[in-house]
Amino acid sequence: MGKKPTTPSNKIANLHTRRRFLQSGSAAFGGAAVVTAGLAQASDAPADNTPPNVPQWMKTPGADTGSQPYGLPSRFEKNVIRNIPKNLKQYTSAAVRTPLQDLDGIITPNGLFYERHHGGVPDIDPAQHRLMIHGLVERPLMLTVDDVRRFPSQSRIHFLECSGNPTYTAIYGKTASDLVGLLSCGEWTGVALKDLLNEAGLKRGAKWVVAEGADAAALTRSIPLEKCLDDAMIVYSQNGERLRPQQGYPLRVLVPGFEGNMNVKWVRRLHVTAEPIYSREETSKYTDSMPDGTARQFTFYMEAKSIILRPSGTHKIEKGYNEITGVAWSGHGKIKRVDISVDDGKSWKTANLQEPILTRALTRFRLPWHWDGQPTVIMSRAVDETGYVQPSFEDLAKIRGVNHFYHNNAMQPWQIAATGEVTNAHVKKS
Amino acid sequence: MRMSRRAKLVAVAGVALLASAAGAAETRYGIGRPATNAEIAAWNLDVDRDGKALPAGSGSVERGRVVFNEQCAACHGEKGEGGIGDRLVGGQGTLNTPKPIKTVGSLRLCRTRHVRRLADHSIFSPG
Repeated sequence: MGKKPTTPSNKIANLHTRRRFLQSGSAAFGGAAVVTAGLAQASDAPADNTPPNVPQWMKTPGADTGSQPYGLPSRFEKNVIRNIPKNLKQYTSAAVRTPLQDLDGIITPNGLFYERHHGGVPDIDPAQHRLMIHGLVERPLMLTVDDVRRFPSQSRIHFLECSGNPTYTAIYGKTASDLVGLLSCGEWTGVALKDLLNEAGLKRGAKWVVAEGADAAALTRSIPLEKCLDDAMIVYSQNGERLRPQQGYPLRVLVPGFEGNMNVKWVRRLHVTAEPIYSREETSKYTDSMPDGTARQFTFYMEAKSIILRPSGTHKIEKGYNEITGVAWSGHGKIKRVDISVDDGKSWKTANLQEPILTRALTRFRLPWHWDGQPTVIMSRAVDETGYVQPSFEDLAKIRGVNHFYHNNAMQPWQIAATGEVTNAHVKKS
Repeated sequence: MRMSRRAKLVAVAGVALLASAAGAAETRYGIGRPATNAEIAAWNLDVDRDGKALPAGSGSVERGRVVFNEQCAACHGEKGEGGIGDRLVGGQGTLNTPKPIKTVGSLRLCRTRHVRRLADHSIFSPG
């Protein structure tokens, strides 16, 4: 070990290192006193940091600036994580949920976005990734990721929702996340799909664009051309940073308001066609079975929906003032109104909508409420700018049956017991 | 040569028309490079609704059985009855019952790209 001159700044650095060691030491021992003489000051835990005491974290400098090159949430938030089902048969074609009830506002942090993959998450080297446009085009194109980034960019906030969120037989989950956690919302940056198609030049007869992902499932969906020329994007960033691998790094399709799986991740190919391709994901999957044995196909739009997130399942509330808050969204445009019932649907009040109210984005709603301590059921009901009103589950199931699987946008009622405990008001009849 | 006022107007309009056509072309950015036929052929495995885009088939039921056992059975079951992967066979007549079973057999539309991909890699590959 080389000798270093002890300069004043060096001394401070050493001190700092020692303190950090002590801090991490005390954390490792669960706050129990470290019994080395002379080190007592930093490890006096468990200290009472509440008034009138001066909290420990004011008595010594905190962690070094830049000690986390990529920042993480406080260690006290370690339970705010994705909702990952246990004991699935496999985890390559599976789904994990956003902990909606633990989040505020309308933006989902990138690390908490819901995931639904069909062949696992590919580890793609962007330098070797290509996007090919071919089919009914004048000039078949091969684009690198850098090429795509040269087109005029745009940023927009939109939600993404899995079409089975939840399925019609899975309405008995405990938490808001169990029920509608296949829902996230972010600011997406990319290019207009229209610009890329224009670059290739559409030929007469072009009606669909078949998008294929570069994952092991080669997930493929047909998108109607009108949508591609309207607000569809090829996206490379979410919430300011490059897409996460779970969200399609380095390129994904974004078709705002359409069911999640159509927003093809890791997109590598756009095939312009006259007809849809009738892929697995638009025949045996993502078609909606009706009671008479027929199926609805190409049910793209996620219809207006809302859910109360606080209070929600597993929460416990106090008598008196409670803020009711949640999110509403519609694949058809903006949310116009959210109604809230605190008496099991007998009467409705209009919630306050937090601005901005954006097209095909989550909209945060709130309603001040005084709970009188009596058992009741609360629920929310979204109305979008087309005038569409979110239905009850009973009304939806009357038409669609319970094997429809996808596109359940029903209201979610929460039961509040006299104890203040909140549970799912849908109870399975066994 | 003298032009009539009318001819001048027509000429101006013609130039304007040409300019606007050029303007449309200018919305192209000239980014990227042409995709080659070989690249398109290698990546485009799409099968249309009629199956016309399928490659010429070869092989046999026996060969198919070997390939299925090697490539599919581990997840989909020895007889396609399902396992960690989806069930592939049966389910005919169940779609309007309380327990509909969607398979290649029960869903008429289910000629899938998934099948084409596996076919390319396995059943149709020489040897």
